[in-house]
Amino acid sequence: MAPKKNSAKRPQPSTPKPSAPARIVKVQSSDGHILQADVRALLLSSTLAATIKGYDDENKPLEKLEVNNVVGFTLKLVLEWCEKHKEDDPAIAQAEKDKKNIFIPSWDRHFLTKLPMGNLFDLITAAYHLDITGLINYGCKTVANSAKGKSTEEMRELFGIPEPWEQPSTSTATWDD
Amino acid sequence: MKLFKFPYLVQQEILHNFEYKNLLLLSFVSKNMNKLIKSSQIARFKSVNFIEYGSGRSDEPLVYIPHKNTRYTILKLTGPFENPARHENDYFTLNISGKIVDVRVCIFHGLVVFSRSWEPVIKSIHNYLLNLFGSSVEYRWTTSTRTDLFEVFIPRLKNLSVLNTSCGENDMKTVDTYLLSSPVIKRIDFFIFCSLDRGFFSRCGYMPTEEPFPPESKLYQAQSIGVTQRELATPAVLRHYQGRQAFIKCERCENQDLIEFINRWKSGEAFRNLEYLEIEILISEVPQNRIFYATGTKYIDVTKRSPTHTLPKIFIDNGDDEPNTDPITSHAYVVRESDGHVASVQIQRDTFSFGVWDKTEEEFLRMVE
Repeated sequence: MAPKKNSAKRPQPSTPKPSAPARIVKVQSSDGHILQADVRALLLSSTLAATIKGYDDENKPLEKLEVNNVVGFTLKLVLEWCEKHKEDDPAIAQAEKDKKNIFIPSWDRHFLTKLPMGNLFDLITAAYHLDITGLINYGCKTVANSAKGKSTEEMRELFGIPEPWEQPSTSTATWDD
Repeated sequence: MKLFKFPYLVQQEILHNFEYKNLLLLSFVSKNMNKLIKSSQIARFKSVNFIEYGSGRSDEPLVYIPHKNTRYTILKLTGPFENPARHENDYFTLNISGKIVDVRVCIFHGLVVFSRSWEPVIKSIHNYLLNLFGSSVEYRWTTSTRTDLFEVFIPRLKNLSVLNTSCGENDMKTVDTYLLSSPVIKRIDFFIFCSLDRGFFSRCGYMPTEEPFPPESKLYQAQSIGVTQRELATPAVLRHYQGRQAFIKCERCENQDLIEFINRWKSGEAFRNLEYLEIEILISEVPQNRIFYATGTKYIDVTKRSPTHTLPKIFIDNGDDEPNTDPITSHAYVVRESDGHVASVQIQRDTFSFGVWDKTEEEFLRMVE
């Protein structure tokens, strides 16, 4: 049988492992939606992991995490992705990022490509704010892949790039500095 | 989705995931996008050691970029009759450095640029790539190897530093004329052959005195040169080369020419810049004793270990190529009369190697163990 290429580098699908019972906490979005999530899933976010660690270090009960810069719809997507990947080794995502050799597993490909571009944009932005390396990797790769086979005009439309005579709207963009 | 609204690090990450052909196309979308690509992909572009203009099975120019020790085609220039089945979309127009051309995206060749007149278009493409990737990238031109079908085509491109050409007797003038009015090229590789059936070449054997390029040709000034020649008896490079590193493959080489080469180096009359010469002779062997005797070669005591000569190559074709010249470990050496510098000489059956040390004889002998 031929050996699998890069099998060591690729994140493997999550498989149920015998582990401690799930520790469920509430997560509140910027628009007030309250969702529930397993702490192991939330630990994929470096930002939320730091907050959770702060609570644990002080032995304070963690009842609700507030995520102030992500709306409910996007947060639900983030949590769905994190739930799917909660068993993954975060070192793999970092290694993929460092090597710039990102392979999108089929579940993620399906999850990300079914999203309209606007939602994908929000999801990547949320992943960036919450510092979820794996989701940023896959999201960015998905956006890059969407350019395949496109003409310049199609790319302009896809990525909302203004015509030369248009002024860019104010944003976090740094392209005109 | 508005790409410019992403945080800069996300923009950088997205662009890094673009294949080169798509990144190249995206850079045409707007000036600001072009600027963003240039500023955010500095590290990625730094790893692009060279951009090569070559040709595929026909003489249609292809633009390659290195990728994991292979060459990845990002662009192809073609005539108007390209097979449409291979394309991912319909024609669209592109303004490449002021030249308006029709373009399609191709599964195999990245961007396919359609034009009846190649030289002005390839110049525009080159100027665009030079602006995008910068001048630290090595730009290489490789002519078609199908010299039986196509004439040698070398357009005048800024910052071209490597020329790889195959040429028959009819093309030599074209290559020489090109070089004459160009800045000195860092590396020239040429595969040269003569048809014995035509002109003054006859089927009576090797032409011992034939010089494919005039002695003053700028070909001999390239810092590094690679020559593969057939049918001509002695590589003229051996007489006229003024650069630093020469790698020659030939079918035969006259002993007298090797002797003359060493003696001219010794006298300081020629080859002042030479650091390394390697001649691989495919048919005949080199008579070591005769060459050494005729050139007054000196020897290190055979009971001692001679120093090994090796240098970083001026030109490395691919990332996986050996970065240094082949080591010369020889007891034989010659001394240049003008400055007392030493060159190691090694003759192994069909290979003649000559490595110049930046050391006088006294300094050289101090390295002997």
